[in-house]
Amino acid sequence: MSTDDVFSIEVTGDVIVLRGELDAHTAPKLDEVIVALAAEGAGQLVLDMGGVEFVDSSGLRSLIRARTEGDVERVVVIREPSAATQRLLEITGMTEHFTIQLAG
Amino acid sequence: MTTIVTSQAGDEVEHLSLDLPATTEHLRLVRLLVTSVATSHGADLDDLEDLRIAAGEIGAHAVAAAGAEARMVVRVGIRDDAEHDAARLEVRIALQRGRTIDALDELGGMVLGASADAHGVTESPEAPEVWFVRALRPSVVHDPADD
Repeated sequence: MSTDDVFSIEVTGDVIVLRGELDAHTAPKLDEVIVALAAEGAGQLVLDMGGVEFVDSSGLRSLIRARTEGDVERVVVIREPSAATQRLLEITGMTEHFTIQLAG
Repeated sequence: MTTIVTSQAGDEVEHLSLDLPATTEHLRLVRLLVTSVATSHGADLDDLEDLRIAAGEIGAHAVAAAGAEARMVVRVGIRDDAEHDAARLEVRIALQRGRTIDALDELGGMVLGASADAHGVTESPEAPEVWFVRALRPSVVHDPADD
């Protein structure tokens, strides 16, 4: 099974739905989407991360990029972060840099 | 080609080596290898999640340093830590001669600082390595006889 089989991105408006493992192999795909949406003038991005099973610092750099791409400081909402996403945000102290929408 | 070797040496209970291409495509395999070994030694769920994070982090760092057409050797060792009544898992990823592995950046160091007991980069002209160690807390198995 290749990593491509276990990672997907769906974009609807300013909402990016991620599923699978976000690492150094897959984060560039998210970067491409972020750059494209920023070029379209997105003032806010919503990342639905309920289906993300793993994130490393490469994925975290993509989330940070979502905030600042195009020299704009935009709001990034992380919707329903999975346990893996929450864990990485917590250990790096990055939680406060994003708007977190928990499930329920 | 991917090569797996298992052996025992010194006070090390077991070690397993995996020789594979140093590409981001193989990082998932590195994480799976480390968590599989830890699972077989009774690691609990919190340990497994942190080991997956730490393995992914040093793997990504090694791949970034490796350059094109390079290979890496992932070595996972388990040692008994009698003093702390636990097993100690050590993961080392080595690159080929002539490669250089820089120190981890701030974010990578922060991630490893939280997910491993110790980590670092060992410079060597023969085979530079990036590594981490972590003690494994055995899973607590409920025994009805204790009720």
